[in-house]
Amino acid sequence: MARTKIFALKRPYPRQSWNKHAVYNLFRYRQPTTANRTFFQQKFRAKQETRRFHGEYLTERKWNSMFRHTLRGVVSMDPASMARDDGSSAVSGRGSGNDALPVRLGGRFGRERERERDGRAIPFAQMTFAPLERRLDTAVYRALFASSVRQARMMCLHGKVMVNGVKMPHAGYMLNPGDMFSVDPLLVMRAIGEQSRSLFKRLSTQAKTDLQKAIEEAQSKTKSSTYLKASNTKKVLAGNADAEVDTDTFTAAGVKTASSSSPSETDGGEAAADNKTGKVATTESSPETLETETETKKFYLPSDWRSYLPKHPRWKIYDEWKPKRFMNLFAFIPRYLEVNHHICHAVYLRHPVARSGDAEVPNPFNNEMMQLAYNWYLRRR
Amino acid sequence: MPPRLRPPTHNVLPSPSTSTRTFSTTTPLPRRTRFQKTEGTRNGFIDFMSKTAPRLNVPSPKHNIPVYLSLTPRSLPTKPGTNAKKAISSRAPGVSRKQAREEIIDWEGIKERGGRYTPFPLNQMFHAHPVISTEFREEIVLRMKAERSVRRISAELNCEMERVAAVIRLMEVERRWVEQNRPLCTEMQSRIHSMMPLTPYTPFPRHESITDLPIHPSTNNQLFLSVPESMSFTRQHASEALGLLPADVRMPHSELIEVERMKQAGVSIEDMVKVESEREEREMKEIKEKRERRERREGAGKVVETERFRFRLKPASAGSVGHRYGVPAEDRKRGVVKIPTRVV
Repeated sequence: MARTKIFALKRPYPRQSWNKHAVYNLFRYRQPTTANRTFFQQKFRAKQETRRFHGEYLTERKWNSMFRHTLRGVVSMDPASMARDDGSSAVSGRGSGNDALPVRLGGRFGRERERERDGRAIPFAQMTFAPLERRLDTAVYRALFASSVRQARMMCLHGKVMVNGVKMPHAGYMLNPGDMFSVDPLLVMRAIGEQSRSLFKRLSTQAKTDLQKAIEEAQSKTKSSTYLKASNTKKVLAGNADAEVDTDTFTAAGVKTASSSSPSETDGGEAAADNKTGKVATTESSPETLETETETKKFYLPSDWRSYLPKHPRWKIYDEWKPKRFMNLFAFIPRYLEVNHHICHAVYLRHPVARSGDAEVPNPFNNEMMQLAYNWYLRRR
Repeated sequence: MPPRLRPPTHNVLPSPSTSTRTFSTTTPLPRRTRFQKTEGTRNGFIDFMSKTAPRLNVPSPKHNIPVYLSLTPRSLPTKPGTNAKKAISSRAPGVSRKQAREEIIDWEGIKERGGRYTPFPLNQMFHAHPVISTEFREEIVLRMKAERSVRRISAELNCEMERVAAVIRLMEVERRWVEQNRPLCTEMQSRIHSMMPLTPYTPFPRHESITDLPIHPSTNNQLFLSVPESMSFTRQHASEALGLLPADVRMPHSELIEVERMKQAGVSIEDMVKVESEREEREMKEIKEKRERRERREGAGKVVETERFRFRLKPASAGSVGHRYGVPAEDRKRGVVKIPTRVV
């Protein structure tokens, strides 16, 4: 891996990631000026900037071996006009076809036509980095199974990505047209879903107090110290009738009751509990000392405090999945992929192509810049 | 050291209205400050997160109109015959400006027109192409179950053949998951689809161009050919000169040209359907024969199924085929690429 710090604020570059810093850098990114630069400098700069976006974790040597000067393009044919005409009209006259609307140079009409023609031109230069789209990690990112190419790469390297039902631990595997790749749905939902805060932070102060008391109670009964873990969750969630469902509602209920319950009562109870079992807690299991900002009260919890909580149901994420921040800015699937998010499978249909006025490689740089980068890699500098 | 020149004293008070300076007084262009060490970068980021990020982070866009990165806040088109200023000034009591502005937005119009979305504002050449909706997928599977060929489904639904085939494969996996009682990520799918342009299923959907002819590299070079002046130079002639098949054959859905020809000749619909079904039958027969031939070829020898491999044994004589016994394989050699090139 080339470098780990990729979201610098001082030297911003667009990166293939949904990270907030990446979004900020993409938002304020402007093309470098080419004024007062030699052609070589322009090309070098274009190569630098584009390579920081496309496969920045690959060495230049690796990418050079993948680069192909042939770029794929398609022309959309009209069957009706092909049926009408055998193509001879395109070369009639002096060899370039009879033009019904000749270009009058300099006139407004002619310039408009030129502009229109430019809009319809096939942006071949945008396909410079098309070979990278064949890579398995990039395809996983494009299929919206990961929130950055590096994350997708990590998924591959950890053996979480399957190609045609076979584990493929090589991020550099070049997909062939028709290859089906898949990732475990739970992993995908966590990767592109809302970041879950740590469980303890989500609990309200009241809930934490309750939890601590309950744990201490449980530990004070030396004989049946584990009954809480095994049997019911109601004891842990004492005082919160709504909280038996799961930790989320537990938190909500805790917030509600926090204002109503008198702090002196809880403090007193806690002190009593502390006197009884404080030593036990410290000696038996290394306690976590956690401090909340609102009240400077210390919570002494055993290291296995999580096991006293009801388990967060695994299926919940299926019903309550929320997208990661800024996901909507990157929520597009290129045409060369067909993705089914129900099962987190995708098919690589064909190699990406450019068509009139449209290129399939997702790319934040304009045509001029890509043209310069392409020229750099032609090795005729 | 020469004596310093004293400034002229005759013009102590400069005239405020007219400038006597000869150089340009226009405001200079903003300097590029990208690589300068600015102290406000972190502050700028915090500013962005508080001011601009709420506009950009839209986890559930209204009316499923996708929101992509834009440098300036976009103004959505209003309904025809409405004026934003008038609507805001004459809003009912209790209605905020924002609500009044949102009420007159032409959501239906935006959906119908289905604009071209450019997720990267600097690159106008990349567009977010719509994806097919889940109903569309189900429709493809329904048509497949009605024993229609992939080619025909593709032509009917204006969807590439590769895509149709892929959707059928994916839906087969999904069906298997449902049978196995494995949970589907329906919530994630719907949330993702609400964020991107979508092609809903309609009786005659127009999803994408299905007759995309790949540009052959040999057509990029100029070719000089002397041709009689009186000769009409057709696509057929061009293909012969280039040594390729004509575009009429290379194009996917080349059968549509024949259909159009029949349409233009005024052939009745019954005849067209008849011709088409004959052609389809012929093609199916050809495919079937091809498959049988391949199976016969592959199944020539004995097949031994093991847990991991399916050995197809063919009669062969040692020495004439395969590696020589004792020669090590190169699959662990240094410098040889170990990444497989294909997974069957």
